[in-house]
Amino acid sequence: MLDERKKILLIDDDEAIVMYLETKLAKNYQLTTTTQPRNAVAMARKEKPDVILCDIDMPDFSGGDVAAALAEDPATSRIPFIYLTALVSPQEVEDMAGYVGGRPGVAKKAPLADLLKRIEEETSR
Amino acid sequence: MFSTFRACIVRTALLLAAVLALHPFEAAAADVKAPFAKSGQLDLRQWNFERDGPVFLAGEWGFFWQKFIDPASPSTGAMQFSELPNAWVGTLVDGTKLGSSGYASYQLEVDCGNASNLSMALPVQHSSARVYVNGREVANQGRPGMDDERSNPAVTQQYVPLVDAVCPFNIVVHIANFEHRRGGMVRGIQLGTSVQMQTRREAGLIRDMGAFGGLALLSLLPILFFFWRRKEMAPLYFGLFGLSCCVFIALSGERAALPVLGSLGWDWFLSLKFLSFYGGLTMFARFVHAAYPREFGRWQINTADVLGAAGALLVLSTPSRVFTQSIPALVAFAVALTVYISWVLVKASMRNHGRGSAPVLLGGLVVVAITVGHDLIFFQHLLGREWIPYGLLLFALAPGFMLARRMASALSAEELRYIEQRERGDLLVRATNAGLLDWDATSGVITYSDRYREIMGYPPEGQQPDIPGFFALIHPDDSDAARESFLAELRNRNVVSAVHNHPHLVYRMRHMNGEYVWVQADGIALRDAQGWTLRFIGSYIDISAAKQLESQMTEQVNQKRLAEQVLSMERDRLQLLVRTTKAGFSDWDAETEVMTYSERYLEMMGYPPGTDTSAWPKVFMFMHDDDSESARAHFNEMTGFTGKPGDTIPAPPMVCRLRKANGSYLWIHAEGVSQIGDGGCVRRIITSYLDISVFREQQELLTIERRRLDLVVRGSRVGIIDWEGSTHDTYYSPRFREILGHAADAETGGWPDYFQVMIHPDDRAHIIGRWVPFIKGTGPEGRFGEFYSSEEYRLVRADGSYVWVEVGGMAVRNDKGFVVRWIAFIIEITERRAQREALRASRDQIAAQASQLERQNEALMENVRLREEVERIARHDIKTPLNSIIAVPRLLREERRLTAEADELLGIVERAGYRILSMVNLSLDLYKMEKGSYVFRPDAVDLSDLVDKVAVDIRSYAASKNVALKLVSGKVQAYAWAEELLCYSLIANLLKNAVEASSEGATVTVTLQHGTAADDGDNVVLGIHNEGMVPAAVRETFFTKYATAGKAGGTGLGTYSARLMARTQDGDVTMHTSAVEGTILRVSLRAAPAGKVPPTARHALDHRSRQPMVLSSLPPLKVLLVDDDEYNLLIVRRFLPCPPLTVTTAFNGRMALAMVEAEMPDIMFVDLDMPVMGGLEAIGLLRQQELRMGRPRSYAVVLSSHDDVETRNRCLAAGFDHYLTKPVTRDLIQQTLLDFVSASTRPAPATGKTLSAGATVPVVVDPDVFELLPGFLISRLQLLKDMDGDIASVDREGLRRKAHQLRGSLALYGFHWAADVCKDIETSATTIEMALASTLAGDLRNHFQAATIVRGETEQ
Repeated sequence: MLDERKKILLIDDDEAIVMYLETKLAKNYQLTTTTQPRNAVAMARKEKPDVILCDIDMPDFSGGDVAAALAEDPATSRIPFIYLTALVSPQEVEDMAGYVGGRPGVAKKAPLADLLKRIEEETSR
Repeated sequence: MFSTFRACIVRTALLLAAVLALHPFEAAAADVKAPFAKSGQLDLRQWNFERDGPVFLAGEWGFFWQKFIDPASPSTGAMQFSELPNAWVGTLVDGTKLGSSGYASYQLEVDCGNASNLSMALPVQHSSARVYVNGREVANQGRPGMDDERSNPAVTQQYVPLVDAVCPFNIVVHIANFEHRRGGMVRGIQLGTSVQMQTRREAGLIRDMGAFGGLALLSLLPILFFFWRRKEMAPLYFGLFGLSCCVFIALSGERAALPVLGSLGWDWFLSLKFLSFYGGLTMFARFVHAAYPREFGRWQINTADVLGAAGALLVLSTPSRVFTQSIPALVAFAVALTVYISWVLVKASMRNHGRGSAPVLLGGLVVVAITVGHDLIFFQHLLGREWIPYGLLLFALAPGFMLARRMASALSAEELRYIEQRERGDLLVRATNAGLLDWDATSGVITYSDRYREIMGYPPEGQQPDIPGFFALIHPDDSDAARESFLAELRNRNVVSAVHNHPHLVYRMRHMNGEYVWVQADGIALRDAQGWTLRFIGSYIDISAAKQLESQMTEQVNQKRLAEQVLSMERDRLQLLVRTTKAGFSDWDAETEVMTYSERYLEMMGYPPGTDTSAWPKVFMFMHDDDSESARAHFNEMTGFTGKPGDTIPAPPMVCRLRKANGSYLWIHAEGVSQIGDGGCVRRIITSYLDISVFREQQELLTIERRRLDLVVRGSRVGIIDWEGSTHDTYYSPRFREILGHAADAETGGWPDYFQVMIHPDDRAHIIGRWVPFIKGTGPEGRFGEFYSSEEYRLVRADGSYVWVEVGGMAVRNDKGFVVRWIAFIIEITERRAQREALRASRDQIAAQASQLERQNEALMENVRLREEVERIARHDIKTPLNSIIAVPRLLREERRLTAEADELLGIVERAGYRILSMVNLSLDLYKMEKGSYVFRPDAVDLSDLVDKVAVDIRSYAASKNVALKLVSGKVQAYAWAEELLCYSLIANLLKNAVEASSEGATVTVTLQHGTAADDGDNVVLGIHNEGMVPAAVRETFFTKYATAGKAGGTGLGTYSARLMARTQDGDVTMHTSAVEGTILRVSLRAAPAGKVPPTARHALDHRSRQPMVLSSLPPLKVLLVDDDEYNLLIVRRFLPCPPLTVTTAFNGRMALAMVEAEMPDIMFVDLDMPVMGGLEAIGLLRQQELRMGRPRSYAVVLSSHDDVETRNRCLAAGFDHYLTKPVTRDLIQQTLLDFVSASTRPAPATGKTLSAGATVPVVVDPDVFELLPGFLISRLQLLKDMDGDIASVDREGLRRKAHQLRGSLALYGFHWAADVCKDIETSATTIEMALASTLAGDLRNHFQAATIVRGETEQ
């Protein structure tokens, strides 16, 4: 049977975050995850996800690098991209109109419903 | 027509003759005159039966009406006689005529002499009879009775032998009739020898049977014919007519059918007879109508039908007694019909319709009429030889003949047509030369025609070799298609019971010699009712020759088409060429000396296309007078050319002017070609004319332009160099020569290279460095850049000196981009350079002066800034002690232990302090207002209250000038939407000014009112009036900064700042002054929104409600006051009730930190600006300390005399919880305490961050990830271990990262306290002491291991 759930590519260097989100989002989405941000573009090309969730603060290859690499590749540049970060608080994200570093962002501390809402907003554009 | 009629007559005559031929026999038999009875007596003594034949007992019989006489004793008397045979109807008996019904006796005495062995023939009488001979009953027909009931009719025909009767015979006949129209002895009794009677009967029977059989046969055949062929009705009618005749014959005459039908009874017998008669008549009429529909009228036939049907109906529905009454009508009907039919037939004969059968039919009719007439006339009453059967037979034969003839001729015609068709078909087949194949699908036999064999090269049928099967001969390439087509034909069952044409095919078949012949195959299939093919006939025509021809034709056509294409292309190309040259053409024919012109020529000359040029004069007549002679000579020369036939000799071109249609002239370039004819002389001359007018015009223009350019170049002070790349020739203009110090006309032939020699050595390198890339096209000008922007350098003059020149130019490049020509302009700029140098020098000087000014300006600005900063700090420093000055009197007064006088004095002190404070604040705020950075925080302000306050403040001053202050506020409650302090300052300023401007003993009036609806709808307007007038000189600058009106020592800030403050509060101040009215200043301010009340009123309310709570509900909190100003400490301490509070104090940040460690206060009030350690620094350290020690976070409140947003925000960001501006009131302090208490008594949030709490706070984990928890905790502990590594190696970035990672994940899993700790580590990672970090890491580890972990509830 064809899986009609939206596909998410999750990039976070912390296995715990990945596992948490895999558990929480599996009901509504198909999740592909990696803790290696350098693999992100290749995975995005292969999986063609509906949205990419990416941590910002990662060693060697940060979320900003991932976003830039995805934007450079025409095959992935149009995939909606959301930062999922602990660098900012939910309040700060709200103050910045939902954007972190010029891209859609959600604080890790924000309620899961905020993240789900944001995913729906970005994928339904 | 005439001949037809004659033939008709002849035929009728022949038929009559045949009929009459029978008559002599009858006539001969009747030669001996038969005796006739007289008075009941018949004498036959002289009659020899043997010789004379039988005799009818006709004549006068004795007649006894209504009597059956006794046959044994015949009466003789009184008898009546009746002539027989006859019906008794109409006979007179006793004077009355008899009817049809009744009974009677007939009596006759026959004296037959010695004749013996006689017999009697008794025909059928009407309608019952009994015969007695010599008293003995010899025969009866039914049973005659005296009435209807006793009478019993019967149909009987009898022969009675009178063997034992002896002559004379007394014959008595009893007859009764109740059934028939004609009663009586209607048919005569015949007497003859037994042999004769026998013979007669037999002959009659033979005759009747013959007629009956013949007729039956004759009529059955057409009926059968009709049965098979229903299209034609005539045979049916004829058959039915014949059958009717049969029946009639069988029932009459000898009544051959009597033995069969007699038993049916009288009525039936009679009915049948009548029906046959009616039917026969009607059918005959129908038959004639069918045969001659045109002649037989429609209504006549309908009438016949109706009458026949009516008769039949009558017969069927009524008894014989009734229907026999219709006999006269029947006869009339028959006669009328016969007459009409005769007329029809005559008409048909006249028209020769039906191929002459009408006369035959007519003859038949005549015959029957004759026979009927004969029988009626001669033998009706007697049982003699009847003709009617013959007549009927003949009559029936006539239509039979007619039908047979018709059929025969139709068959013959059909046969002929068939033969004709077959012959035609054969001819066609032969003509088409088609070979035939005939496949009989039912038997599977295929036959091939000889022609088919011939086409395939095989001998005719029967000879060897025999031809192979059809499909075996088809070319392999065509075989499949042919087979498919044939199979499709077999499978196609759409066409049924018909012939289906097989599609036309063309294919190749193998000839016996192995070659292939092209055949055109057609076929037809004969289909049965189910669509199955019964037979398939294919025709094959050898079209090899046609095919060959076709391919040849195709090839020829293709070749032709190719040639045509080539030709057309060639023609198009030529036309294109001609058109592109734009040349017009003329064609002169030497033979006719006629010149024809092309369309383009006409167009060039301005004539419409298609102009008739045949009448034009010679072309020379169109030429300009100056050219015509030379052209004529030129042309004559061309006509004189000789050469080989077919040669074309071009003539040299010439230029001439041709006159256009509008009279203007065109310059033409003409070029002619002479074509040599067979005689070696010129046959035609074709000339092309090209319009070169524009070209010539341009040429002329160019010449003029060149001349002008030359003048310009020579006239200008610009030198020109023109360098030709291909020849390296260089032209130096005279002016250039002059620039170089030569004569203007100096020889330049031996001049050296411009670049290598002429340019000053110092400039040479960089000029060549720019020039070389330019000519190569690699310079900044680009590959095809034309213009060389000018540059300045020096050239060596003739005398060795240098001259400054500006050189620019333009290059012409070839397609590779190389410069092939270079034209440069050279301007001497020595003088210009000198001027420029001077200019630059003066400009530098100005710039130096400007920068100096700038520096001075900056210094000034810096001074101003410094001064302002100093002022600001100074004001702040003033404010701190001032706060004490204000607060102390208040405290003292609040003690309420003072005398009234002391209280008032202290009130003055307090107010004075406020005034100073407000002045300080105001000067700070004015500065902000001027800069536009003042933040306006409006609240409701009670202006009347404020005016009262101001009035109290300046009352003493006013009194000193003996000026009266009059307040006209009335009952107006005027709340402005403004700031109280600003309003106070504003009003105080203006009021004081007003007092100042007033003369001794004058009155200053203050009015307060709401703005009128017209202009200031939502405004509150304050009017300040004094009687003095503003001097005219000052009016214009009344509100300007630093403007004063003769006020010694005035700063000139009063009115300026008043207006500034009013405008800052969205209001304004205006001034009206006049000698009569004095001066009025109107201050308009926005009115407070409905429902807003001044804080004083608000506090008064709050105060009442809160007062008891303050005293009763405060818990025993520990309070720490930190301020370097002891008075401030004192004041605030006075505001804090002890008990229940415990208050400790510190003088600076460092001391405060120590105190915190010792006392662990719940709440602290901290000043910002303190020596040793300020409040901001202290709070940062304090928060860290708390974290490190795991102390609960204390509540820290700023108490600062800084009243700006930036400071406030900075403090809150640094870790303070609340901000209060000095001077503070008791209310504010107590309110803060209450707020703190109420906040801390609420349930502590889950993120409470004290370590002791953190360690025990239950962690509520999301149930979804509960299973992941063990792994999660292991990985977190690993991270903490890594963090320890970072701490050990003082890797702050590593520490930050780990803390960040932990913080993000911990929050997600529900470890909020731990997440907060990690956040603190992360944010302070760059400064945190490593020992503290290590402690925190340890705390976290403990937390992970010891925390109570609770599984959360599933989210909805």
